[in-house]
Amino acid sequence: MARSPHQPDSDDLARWLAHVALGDRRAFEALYQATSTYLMAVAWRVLQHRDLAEEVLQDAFVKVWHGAGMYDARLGAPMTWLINIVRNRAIDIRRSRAAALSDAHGDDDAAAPDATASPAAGPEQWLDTAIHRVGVQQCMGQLTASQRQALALVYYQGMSHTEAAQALDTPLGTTKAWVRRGLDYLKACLQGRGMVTP
Amino acid sequence: MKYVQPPERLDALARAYAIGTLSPRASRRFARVLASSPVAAQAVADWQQVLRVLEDGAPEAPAPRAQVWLDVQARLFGREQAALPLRARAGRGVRALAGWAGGLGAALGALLCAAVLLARPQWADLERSGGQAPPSYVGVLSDPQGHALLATTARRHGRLLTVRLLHPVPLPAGQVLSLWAWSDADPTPRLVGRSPNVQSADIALARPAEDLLGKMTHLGVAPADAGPESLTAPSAPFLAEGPCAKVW
Repeated sequence: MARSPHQPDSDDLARWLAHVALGDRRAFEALYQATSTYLMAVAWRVLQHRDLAEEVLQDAFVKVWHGAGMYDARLGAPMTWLINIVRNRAIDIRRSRAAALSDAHGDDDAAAPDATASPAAGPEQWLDTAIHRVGVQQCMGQLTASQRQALALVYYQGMSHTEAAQALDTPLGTTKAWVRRGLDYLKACLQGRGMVTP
Repeated sequence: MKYVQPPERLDALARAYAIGTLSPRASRRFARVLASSPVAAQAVADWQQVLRVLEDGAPEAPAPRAQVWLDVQARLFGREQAALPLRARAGRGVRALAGWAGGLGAALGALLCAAVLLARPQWADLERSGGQAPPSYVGVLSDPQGHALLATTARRHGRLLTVRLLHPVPLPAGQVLSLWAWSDADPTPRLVGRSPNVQSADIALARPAEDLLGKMTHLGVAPADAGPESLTAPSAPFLAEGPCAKVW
């Protein structure tokens, strides 16, 4: 059953993380219950494979249990910290299992992407949705469709520059420049609107 | 410091690290830099804050199956623990030990406490200056993993109770530590006082320690709001518990 991910309250997350750092298993369960669906979506986007996404989630929460004390509120919101743990782990798995994934997307039905949970849209649509939701479509509109596509592939699916270049059939240097430019535009845009600290 | 200078280089590395396009080797190397360079850590955090915005476009995804949570617990705490509902595991540690073994448990806890304090008298300000240590109520409170988290000491007839943290306690801003005591005969926790989350602090007791702690066998510490309102019960699970021992 697919669920719409939602974002839990940041203060609750910070409090639970503080308790998890002290070995509080009730806080750990509360943290898991509040964030796992949302974080599952992060992993699933990169891997598009339910079993692997769940494996990432499992690894990530083991890491959270051991490393909750490392969370530094001065460096960002707790959900950002959790997302990065999950996304980094998903990218690691994606790259280390590139060959297996490739097979899975081919003949192995058991490991194939979960078609019932597949979103109708792809990375470009996700990027557009995000940009519209935060109201920065005007400045991001300066990016070409190709630039947006490159940024979406690298961010949402955790592709390397090389993979994105192959997917877009463009030179590596061009793809790198597109991603860099897309990110720089986004940052400048958000800073200009006071949505992130300069 | 070749990673953090010039700033443009650091920004480029931080951007690539945050979005995940560094090679695995370069990523590991830069992660080591982050651990020792607040400037680099801040640069990455700034980019992560930017990328966080893109999460708002997240599509629907399958919810994780219930087995995932069981597997997380099994990896951390063992299969047997994972299968139990959390409520059934509540009250672990010294309280559970005391409840399990009745008076023997409490006596064992007090013995352990005394042994710890003999080994580390500085935890409870019990260093002898050639004579006997003053009669005191002492506690060494441990977290659910059994790690000593804080020590308390109060002179038997004194009105001050010293709380000494043995490890930092990460509490959200605006919260303090509340110290509670209870006995085997009456397990309802009674508030002893509130302490700021600092390495060492004195709690002013409403009555002499003998009156407040004379019949108590256990101490627990829980997070609490810093406000002046009185507390009738802990508002959060205990972070640490331990025996309340009479040392005289």
